[in-house]
Amino acid sequence: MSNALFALANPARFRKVGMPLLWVSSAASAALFAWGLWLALLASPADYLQQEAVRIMYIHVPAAWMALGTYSSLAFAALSFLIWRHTLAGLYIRAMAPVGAAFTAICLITGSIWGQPTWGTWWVWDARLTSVLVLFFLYAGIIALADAFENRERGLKAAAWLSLIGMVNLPVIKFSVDWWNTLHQPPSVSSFARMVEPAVDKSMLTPLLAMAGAYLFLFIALAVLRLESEIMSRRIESARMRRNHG
Amino acid sequence: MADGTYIHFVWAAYGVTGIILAAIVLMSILKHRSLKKENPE
Repeated sequence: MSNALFALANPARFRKVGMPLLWVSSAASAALFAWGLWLALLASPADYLQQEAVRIMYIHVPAAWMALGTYSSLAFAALSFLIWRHTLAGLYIRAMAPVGAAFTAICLITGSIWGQPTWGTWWVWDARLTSVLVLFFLYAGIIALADAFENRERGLKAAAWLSLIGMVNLPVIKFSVDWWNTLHQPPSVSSFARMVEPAVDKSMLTPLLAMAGAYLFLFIALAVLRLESEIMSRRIESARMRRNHG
Repeated sequence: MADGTYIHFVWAAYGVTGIILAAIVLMSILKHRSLKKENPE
């Protein structure tokens, strides 16, 4: 596994497997979005208490999973970049921080829209909501730092350090609903015990997982596309520098 | 239950999600296309 990852860390090798992966994941994402949206908006039942508002769960919860998952992948890439100096890992941080920020923004905005009919408020400064807002600011910081220096490598290094430091926020987000008395509900499917016996009915769990799959394949497609762009941008910059110096 | 209670919140949430996802996908595709044109390869 680690050998395969190290082999893929070579930009040339990555580009060879990248294109087929891009097409497969794009097609899988489109198919899952079509199925998931049909289930979420038409086929699944409304909740007896939340009424139609429960349908927001199918876009809100997978966005939260992706926001946390993307950040974990950034931290892993940061570690590879800082310890093993993998070029692709540094480029991954730059390429995927905006995607993580987009998922976090979706999570925050849809959560706020869901909060109004169910809690009677758009926003409360409770531990879960605040820690997810901090996650959004961390993504914004990483995006800003990666472009803040004239020297590209220095920018990537600073962004990598922030990605690593920001990891402390992930357990805070995950366990905030257990550690503090929050308005946000505890997990329904994300803990191991809940995976075995979820608190969500199958008629609602299926669209939730379909949408999570759609987000995941979209993430993979975007990762390939944006990494390719980063590699090309680096090549263009190197060619420009070679021209300027001789 | 299908009397449409709170349905406008659902449309708002799905609309915002669609806009954000479309924006990030479109930005990624456009950046990739413009770099491909510029690429010396």
